[in-house]
Amino acid sequence: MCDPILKAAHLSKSYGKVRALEDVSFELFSSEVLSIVGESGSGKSTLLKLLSGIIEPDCGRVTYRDKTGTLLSIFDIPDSLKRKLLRTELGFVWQDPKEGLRLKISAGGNIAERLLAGGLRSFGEARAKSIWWLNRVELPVSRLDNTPEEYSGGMRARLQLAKNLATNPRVLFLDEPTAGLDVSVQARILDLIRGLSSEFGLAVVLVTHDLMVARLLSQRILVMKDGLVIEAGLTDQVLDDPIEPYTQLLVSSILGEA
Amino acid sequence: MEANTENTAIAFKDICKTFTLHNLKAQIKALSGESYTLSFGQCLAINGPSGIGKSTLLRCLYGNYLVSSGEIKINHRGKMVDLVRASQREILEIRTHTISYVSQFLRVIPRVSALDIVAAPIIEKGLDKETALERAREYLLKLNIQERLHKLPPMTFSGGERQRVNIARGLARLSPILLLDEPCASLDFPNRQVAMELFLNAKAQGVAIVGIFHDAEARESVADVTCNLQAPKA
Repeated sequence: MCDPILKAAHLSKSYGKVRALEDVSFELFSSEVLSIVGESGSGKSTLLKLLSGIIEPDCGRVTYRDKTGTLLSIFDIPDSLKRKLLRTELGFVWQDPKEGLRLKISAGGNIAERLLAGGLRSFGEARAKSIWWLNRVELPVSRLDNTPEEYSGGMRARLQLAKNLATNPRVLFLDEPTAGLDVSVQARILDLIRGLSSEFGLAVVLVTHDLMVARLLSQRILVMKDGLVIEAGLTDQVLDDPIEPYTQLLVSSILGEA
Repeated sequence: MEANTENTAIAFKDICKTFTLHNLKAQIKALSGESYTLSFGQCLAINGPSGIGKSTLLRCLYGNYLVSSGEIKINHRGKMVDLVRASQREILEIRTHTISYVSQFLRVIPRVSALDIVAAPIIEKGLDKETALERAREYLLKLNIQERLHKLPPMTFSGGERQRVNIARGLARLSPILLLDEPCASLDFPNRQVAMELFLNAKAQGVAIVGIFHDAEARESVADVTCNLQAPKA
């Protein structure tokens, strides 16, 4: 079996006296979708920001194996390299679109900016790629020149996805990517992510509160509570046979069947 | 007598399963020491009244439920691997290449076509897309899902059609071990015959089957041995 593409070891983070994350370790492999579930405030988003190097932990390390096979310790590499990775090999879709998009430049401009920062030279090609990705996430191409300010919440989420996928990232961090989407678009986005994962080896860390999304998309799952990973396993096993009291409560609280 | 282990597909021993329901402060004993060894080309039917733990046993054999104790040896690429002690990634590997599980209900991403649903596990095994789609088409047709439906998502299908897509998906990947949880429950008589015929064919090709068959006649036609579950001792 191959080496992990991303490895977290003993990550801890506090904000003042508040413990956001304690001693979290796991490995992520190519072609794998890993879900992180838990109530709000359990540390899910903090974990995602640590994994992508956006914030630094109090202790612990994150190791990323890059395209050339080199192991990079995310908190030890220069900031310039970290930023470069986040523009190319790593993608981050924020729950708050203001973090992931420039609201005052056009949708096409948002995608082109990432492509050009990632090394693409031609504006024409950037525009063509932008159109192609808008189609993949089911945004109308007629809205290419509109700014995200003129987009709905669900459209902004899809634009972030298009922007991130345009550079063919190897790892994608998703923070509640389907939260504001109506169900038919949600299904198509899930299928798109799964397809990229199985066909092109994209590895995904998915933070979600929607257990149905976790079930349909991810092979493995981490359940978080108060900054701790309290249960981890195969997604179907954890959801069908939860062991911890909190996980049982979480699974039994869903309306309908997940 | 020592069994010929080379031909052993699956060997489970002393499987116990107790559910702890924290909010009810209750422990429910579902399985207390089930054991069986099954060879390739054989079919084991799990039998017993409703609620006795038939599905629980089957789910344990797939790694969907964690056993409380016992061992489950699976012949994975010629080596006996204990599913109970295997890592998460090993279990995923075993599911991709060795064990196929047909559940009672099809659970898939909406809007994905029937053809893609059946082809997905074949692609996951490493076969190219074209071969996978061709084989998916072949199995859907075998199960009387007409060509005009292949491009449609099964969400729009009837219950029986959906279940036939589910069976096609379980069979088309040609796994050496097949777990069946009442696969024919929602099928009409002619389609039930078709499905049973396909299970018999698979068995003739050397596939080991562990199944729950609601219908006694179906059970007798395919099963070589029957394991009658008893109510667990409290």
